[in-house]
Amino acid sequence: MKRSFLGALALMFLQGAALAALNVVATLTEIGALVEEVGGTRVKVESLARGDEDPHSIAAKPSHSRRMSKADLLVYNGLELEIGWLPLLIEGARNPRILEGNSSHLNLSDFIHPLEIPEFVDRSLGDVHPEGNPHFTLDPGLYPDLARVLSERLAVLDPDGADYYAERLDSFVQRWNRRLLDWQQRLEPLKGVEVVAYHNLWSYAARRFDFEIIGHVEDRPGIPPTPKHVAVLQTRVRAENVKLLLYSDLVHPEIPKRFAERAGCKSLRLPQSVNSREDTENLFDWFELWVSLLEGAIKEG
Amino acid sequence: MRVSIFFVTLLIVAAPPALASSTSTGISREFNPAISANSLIIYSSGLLSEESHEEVEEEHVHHTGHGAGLFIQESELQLSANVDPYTRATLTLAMHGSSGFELEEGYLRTQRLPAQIGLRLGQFYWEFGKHNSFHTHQYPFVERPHAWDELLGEHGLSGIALELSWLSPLPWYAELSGTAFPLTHTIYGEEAEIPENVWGQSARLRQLFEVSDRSTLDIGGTWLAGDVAHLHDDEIEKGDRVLLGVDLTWKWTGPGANARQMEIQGEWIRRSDSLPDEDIVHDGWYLSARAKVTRRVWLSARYDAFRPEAVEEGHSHFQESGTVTASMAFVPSEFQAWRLDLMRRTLGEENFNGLRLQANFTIGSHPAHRY
Repeated sequence: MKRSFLGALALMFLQGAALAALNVVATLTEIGALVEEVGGTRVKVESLARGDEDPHSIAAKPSHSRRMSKADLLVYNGLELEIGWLPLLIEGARNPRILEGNSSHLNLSDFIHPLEIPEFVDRSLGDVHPEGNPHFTLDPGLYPDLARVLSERLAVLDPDGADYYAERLDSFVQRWNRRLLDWQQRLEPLKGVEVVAYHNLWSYAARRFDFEIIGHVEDRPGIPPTPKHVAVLQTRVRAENVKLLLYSDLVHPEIPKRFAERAGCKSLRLPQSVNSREDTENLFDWFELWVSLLEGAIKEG
Repeated sequence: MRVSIFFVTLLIVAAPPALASSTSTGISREFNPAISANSLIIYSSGLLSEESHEEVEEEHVHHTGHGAGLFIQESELQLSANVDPYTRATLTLAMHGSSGFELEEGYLRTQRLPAQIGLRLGQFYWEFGKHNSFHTHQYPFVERPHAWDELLGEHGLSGIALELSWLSPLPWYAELSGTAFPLTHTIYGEEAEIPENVWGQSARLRQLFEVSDRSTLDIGGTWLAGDVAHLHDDEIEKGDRVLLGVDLTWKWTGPGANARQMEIQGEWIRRSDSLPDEDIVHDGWYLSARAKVTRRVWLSARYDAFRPEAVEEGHSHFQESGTVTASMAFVPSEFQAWRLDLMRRTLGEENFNGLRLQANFTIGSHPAHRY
């Protein structure tokens, strides 16, 4: 009895390490999903944020630090999206491998060209990101490059799996590019269309699919909009005959719906990330739903 | 020869300013530490009866360092940065009222020790339960629980210390930490001269369980031991002091941006002083509930109690107390909060009512607070 208890305890400690070559911790669910695509069975991935949590303000739970304490690789978004909680978790993890400057510390934003780098930064502008708009994971066109970065990094950390990661990368990029082409064709009618957005989430997606965001309801990130700003934007939406207001799962639907009613446009709730709602368990399903919703809204006019 | 020595000397004397100028402009600002400043502005008022005015005034002075009125409660300047690949340093200067800055915390923390071990050396708030580690601007209510002032001293348990902590490999979060510290007046006694080379020690086990996807249960236990001195009939009695603490926190966070949050927290502390002729035991506790009811508004309530052991007259100035606090906080952004606290304290057989209105603001790059 005693022996079997000790055996079970030992198994509990060794769990994970024995099943996969690398323990990977990702901050966001979409980043975790991408690691799974590239790493397959050689990685054990844990995402810190849930799909329905605001990535700006995840609670820095000590249990997250515990997850990171055994990580062989930490992958995060960067551009200060996680600045409010990730540094504290890294400090609490006491895992020298995942400190900045090591190969086990991967900031994905180092491999993209950020949009909207502000010339002037001040807290009166709200929760601004001095290094640029951090929401690049909402652009499906960037995923092949991000997957390549991940594959190379996994190969550095697990050289025995280099061929495996390269194969998985090729497979992912081929499947993804086919779907991307399909999504671009279906969203062809979106080209040049003017929309408004609740939060500044879709700048990268707008560049990819060539639609224009003429304004944001939340004009200063993280700060509730003033009635004056809302009124001015509603007037502009009416005057310019803007048809669509985009908002994410994270925003309570009541506020965008009220705005849309008064501005005379439609409101469309888009999935924020992988696992932000049902049927978004992986990257393909997430963007498929995202595209379908936009496609439907455009068809309805 | 003399002339050349003169010119060489002149050259050497003249050179430093040019070199210094060149060097100073060559140092990158990128290496500056993260700097933040926080200030607490408070309006404090007791809703008093005439006869209790004096006592309540003393209470205000005791808790805030000021009498009733409008004043700066505390300002804090914090700097933190990596020293090198091995250590990180934090320096916190605090000014109570307008009395001048003093070192509140200043410590080094290791970053690269193996086996999930951490070492901290310097002056800091010791790991004793939850509330003791909070800086004033982190307090969930304007004031600390009254019992904490009585049991841990006005500034809490802090000072120069060495802390060793270990994050266990258990499948849930379990951290064990131990602290060694030279005795200070807080633990030893204001009246007695602090003995040299006498150290106290403490140990803490903190465990956190993810009860569900949205809620956690945080359970901690702390033990601290040191020497103590009491003044009794103008004579100093020396003995041993032991502090025991238990804390429990349940937190829930809802989905989405600006998520609703709830928190229930309780702590209990027992302080036991063993003197040659007697043992003196005091204890205190609090239970608080907080809820984020809208995007910008928190509602909170707390009851805290202090229960001193009855001791012979003249030996103790402690009185049994119980305080109810109801609080509403308006938080327009994560860098600013306005809090209104209404308090009713029963001290012995008397009741005192109080009101605190506090503005709390932060500028600069302030690190995230612990969970």
